[in-house]
Amino acid sequence: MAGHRTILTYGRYIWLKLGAGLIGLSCAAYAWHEPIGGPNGGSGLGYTFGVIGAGLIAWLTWFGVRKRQHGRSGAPLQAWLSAHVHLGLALAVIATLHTGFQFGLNIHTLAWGLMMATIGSGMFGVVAYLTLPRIQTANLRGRALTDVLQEVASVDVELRRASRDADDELNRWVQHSDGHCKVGGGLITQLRGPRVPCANHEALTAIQVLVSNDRHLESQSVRQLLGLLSRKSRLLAQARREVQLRAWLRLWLFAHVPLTFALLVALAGHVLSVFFFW
Amino acid sequence: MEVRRRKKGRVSRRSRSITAKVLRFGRRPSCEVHLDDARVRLTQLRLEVRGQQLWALDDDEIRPVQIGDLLPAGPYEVRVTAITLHEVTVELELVRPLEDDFEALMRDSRLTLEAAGLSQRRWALRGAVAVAMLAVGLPLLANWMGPGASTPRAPPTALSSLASFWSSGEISQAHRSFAQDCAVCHATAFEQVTDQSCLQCHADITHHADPSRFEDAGLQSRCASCHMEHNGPQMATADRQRDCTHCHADPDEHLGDSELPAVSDFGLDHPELPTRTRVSDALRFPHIDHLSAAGTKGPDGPEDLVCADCHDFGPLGGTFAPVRMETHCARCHPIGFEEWAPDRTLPHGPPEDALSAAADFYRGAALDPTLVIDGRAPWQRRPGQTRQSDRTTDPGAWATERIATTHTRGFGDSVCGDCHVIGDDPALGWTIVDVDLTVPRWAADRFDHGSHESPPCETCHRAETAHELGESGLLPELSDCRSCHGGADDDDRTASPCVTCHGYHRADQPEM
Repeated sequence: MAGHRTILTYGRYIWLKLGAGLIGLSCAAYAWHEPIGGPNGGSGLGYTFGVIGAGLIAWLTWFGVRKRQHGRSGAPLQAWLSAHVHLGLALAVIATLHTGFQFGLNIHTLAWGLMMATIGSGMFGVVAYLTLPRIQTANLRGRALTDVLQEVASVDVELRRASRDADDELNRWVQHSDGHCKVGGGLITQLRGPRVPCANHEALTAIQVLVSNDRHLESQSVRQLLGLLSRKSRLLAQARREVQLRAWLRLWLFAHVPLTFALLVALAGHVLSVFFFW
Repeated sequence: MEVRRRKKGRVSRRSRSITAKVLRFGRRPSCEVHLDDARVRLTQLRLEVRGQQLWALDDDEIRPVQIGDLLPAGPYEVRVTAITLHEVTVELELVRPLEDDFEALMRDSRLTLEAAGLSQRRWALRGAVAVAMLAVGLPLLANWMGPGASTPRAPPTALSSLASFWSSGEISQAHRSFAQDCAVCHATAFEQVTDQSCLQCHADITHHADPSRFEDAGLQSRCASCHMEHNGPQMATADRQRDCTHCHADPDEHLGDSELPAVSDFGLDHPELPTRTRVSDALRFPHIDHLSAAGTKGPDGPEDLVCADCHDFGPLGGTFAPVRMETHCARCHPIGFEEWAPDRTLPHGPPEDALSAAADFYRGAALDPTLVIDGRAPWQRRPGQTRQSDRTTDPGAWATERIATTHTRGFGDSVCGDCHVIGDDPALGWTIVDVDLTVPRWAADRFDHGSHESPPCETCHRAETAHELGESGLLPELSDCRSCHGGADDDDRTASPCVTCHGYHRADQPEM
């Protein structure tokens, strides 16, 4: 049985091998090279690493354009993504060797830092893409988020129906669940997922307390209410978990993309400054 | 009356007449006005006439009602339009109809990061603009506006600090005093640093060899190709052994008619060190007699001399001050020339000066009527002596005779020959073979005694057994150096490429 194919193993590890080869070759050249004054970006090999690194950054950035060109002929997007990941990792090594491990408070280290942060966020993205979709599928059991939210809405209708004849106190809590429940929210709320204050959960707890304190309230209709509130709780937890997973799945992009653009500007400044002070 | 507002602003009214003392609005089916809405309490509102007044009661309060009053009842509003003695007319309108649950949920929920206020595009734009302004634009402006410091040692200014954000690294200690003034070296933007910038200060720097003789040796390279700045506090100097051995490992192939020996590595393939100094032939100094364990004869008895009694570090350290006769030798070795005048010495210097001083002495002595040698004046005739005897009786002639003896080689040998080699001179009768007291030019011109102070002198200089200055062992041998220093790639000893001992720029070569 063939193993599970991922972006990391695409094309029989072709991009993994190419990336590893590039890293190995660069490290060997770095170890062999003895520039005057020690390894630095201005030596012959340093310039070579710099040119390769800048070329890789430009090519890796182009992936942002390529992934939007749906239906384009040529290498499939999976191949592009696999190459993007492996050559991006190789870039981290090549650009670090380009620095000669000379770091300081200057535009050159800024460019390197932005590049490493971009690659770091990309690594987070790779881990997210490889792990989270499976958890999403298990969470929603193949349904879409809107399906779950539709079901929440239908439970609300049932709740109103079931509470039509209910005691005002019970009905107040049902209304609390009906009027104050929402999924998602701000960044922190989305990232916290089901672990957020929930009006439905408050209503469910409150009604359970009411029933336990006043046994004569217990009736078929109240049990139905509790059942509906419990069901709504489960659905809301699923929906919030899905929103949470989606947020974690895409959060890195909000760092990766802006960092890339900042890196491109810093890289241009780095090259400009190098030749300004040639 | 139930009021319903329909699309396009149409309003429909449905009238109903209810006979009751109390008018209850609520979800309870027994209410006079039954509101079938879960958002309404069992009894949401009561209208009741007490006395002559209509009152509205709900859970929270009771208040009198006038015509035109608007009474909230959950999602409904009740407007009192008429009150008579037996009849109250109200309009009931559902002002907050029940929304579609799904739409309401979707409206209240923010499901995406974009909905939470995050924006890739906005952040990308802000980040790029911030980097462009702070890391590129401002330093570019600062650099374009010229040097940040007006004088080399001026403290950094805001402008120079901004400009230095483009610096590629820490500048060397030697150049740190003008580190804030980039234009000292980087004279023109987008042009490589020229040798002219270096020669502003290093005007007298010389070539390694005559570039016109060795055209292929790369001697015309830019200064910055070997001395790379911004690589840390140490000045970057080309210390790769292969850059030297490329030519020096095979001088016959690369160095033409040069007599330089072949050398490829200090630890493995290096010629023996020179064992003779320039002074060794012309000067006699038996170190063995001066460092004897039994002591050395001094003016006041035996003395224990040590190396430092004669060999002092100069005022700057690192190199030794020359040994001087007057300072180091004269105390024990005064230049006496007459036994009967032991306190009279000749000056240490050119033979002419010594002979002149001796002549002055004899002339002066001849004029001294009290001069007595061996119990009488040297020109006094003894009884029985005739005028024809060989002994002069004239003081002037005596002086002339004595002066003549100073111009004999024997005088030179007896007075100066202990230390100096005496040669012939037709005019003076004798002379001293020249002693070159200039610091000997050793090929290892970067050798620094200052950094070799720890081991005792005899580790490299076996002076206690040396009879002659040119004797083997008095100067260090290759093996002495190799006990601590190895070749460029030696792991066990101090790795020493060529430039550890040999400076590149040779003082005897043309200026760059």
